[in-house]
Amino acid sequence: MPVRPAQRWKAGRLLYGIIIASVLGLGTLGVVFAVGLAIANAKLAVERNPLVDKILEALPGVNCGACGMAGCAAYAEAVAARKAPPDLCAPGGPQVHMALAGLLGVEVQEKDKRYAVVHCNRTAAKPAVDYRGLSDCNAAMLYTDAIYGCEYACLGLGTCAEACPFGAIVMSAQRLPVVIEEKCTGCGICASVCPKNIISIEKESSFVHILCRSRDKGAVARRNCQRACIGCGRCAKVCPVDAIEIKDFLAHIDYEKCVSCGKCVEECPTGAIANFRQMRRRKASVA
Amino acid sequence: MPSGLHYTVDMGSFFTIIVSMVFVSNFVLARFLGLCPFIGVTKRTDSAFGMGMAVTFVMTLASAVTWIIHRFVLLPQSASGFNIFARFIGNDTSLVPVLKTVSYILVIATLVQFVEMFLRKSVPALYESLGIYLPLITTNCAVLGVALLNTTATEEVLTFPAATFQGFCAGVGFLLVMLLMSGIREHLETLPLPEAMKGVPIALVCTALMALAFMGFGGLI
Repeated sequence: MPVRPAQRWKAGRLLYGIIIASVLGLGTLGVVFAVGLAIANAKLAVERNPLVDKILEALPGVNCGACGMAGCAAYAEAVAARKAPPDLCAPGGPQVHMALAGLLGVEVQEKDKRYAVVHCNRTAAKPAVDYRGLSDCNAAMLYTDAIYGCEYACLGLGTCAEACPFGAIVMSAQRLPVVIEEKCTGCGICASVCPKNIISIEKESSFVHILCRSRDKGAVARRNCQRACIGCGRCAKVCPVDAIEIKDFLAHIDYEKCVSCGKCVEECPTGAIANFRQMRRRKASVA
Repeated sequence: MPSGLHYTVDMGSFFTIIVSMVFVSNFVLARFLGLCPFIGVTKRTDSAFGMGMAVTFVMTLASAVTWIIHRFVLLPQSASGFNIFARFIGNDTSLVPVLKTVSYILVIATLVQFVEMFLRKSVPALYESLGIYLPLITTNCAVLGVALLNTTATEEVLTFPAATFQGFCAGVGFLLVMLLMSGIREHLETLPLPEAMKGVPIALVCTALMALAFMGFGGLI
């Protein structure tokens, strides 16, 4: 049966009525609430410490959480309330620390700049395991401990590079993370996401690092990786300040004692120790 | 007074509300609403208590305000002058359930914002102790749930005090379960559990057992 124009008009009017009622009604409610909130905001405005705004402005605003607070705003409030020291902002570095200290009228002890050091230099470039899951180290850890043979080695899936808020980590052709020191702020996010704990945050003034975390016996470690620390102890013997100690077949450097002389680097039979000062010079001469 | 709806208020019904909201149809364990804060904020007792208090507070206020909105703005039978919807759709109530959900979210979000401003100005101590939990419950489904339940006309419609009280009791039920769960989870932390069961998995197992236990209250009313 054909619908007469009058009927169609009636049905249409009801439909439009519903739409108009909903839009107008909810719109009106929304406007009323918005006006109410605006008035409340003006009437109930709390005198905010102007220092908080100044501090917030001085902070880099990346909300990385390296200071241990929920974000830059939380840290600014804590600093203004004198509940947190002004030198916790890792991304900001000395400049921001000085600025905050200036705002607060206090002195800060200048901290060394810190950056991330990757303690793995595995030689195996091809995976020993055919892992085809999520490209995330923590996900891979559910299936296997060792993609490249050594169970202490970097899994090479780039979770650290992904997590870095500053783009300071790139994955090399060997699928090893490379820290771009100019960009690294030492915030420590990469170290906290790495399931293998092979990234640590060290002072810029420490140049010599053990690039291995293998606690396997020497022979096993060597079979898995040409550049593994085999715990032979030659570095510990040659060290003039006794800064190296062998624990669980792995050399540990005491950074408090280390003078970065580099003798251990030359002595190491596998090349598991690196001198970052030389590497930096080489980089500088190339550039 | 609209025909077909009759109002009841007596002490018996208030007692029924307490038992029903706190135990029998507990929001977390029987209705499965508000599970996100339930799992997220029950790691420690003090934060669970803060969240529970904030939810109770907002639920009570939201129940009161949404009852007023429902009665005087949404329902076409209302005799009040400022009914917006009835002007366009007459006495047709079929739209009310749809508009209810949308307008309640609006109301609750506004309310929480307002309460936050108010507390910050007037009761800074309470504002500090509620902390982050107050803005977190803006979109908590348990708060929307209690508002919708209050205004769902079955055979009888709740009066204003009963609706507000029901909101309060729902919050108390939520607080109770939050405290129970946080107590359990603090003990679970020290247990030698298998790696895969640590944290949320074992918490959900405990939740299931608690829900079973709460089913025992079923015969009370």
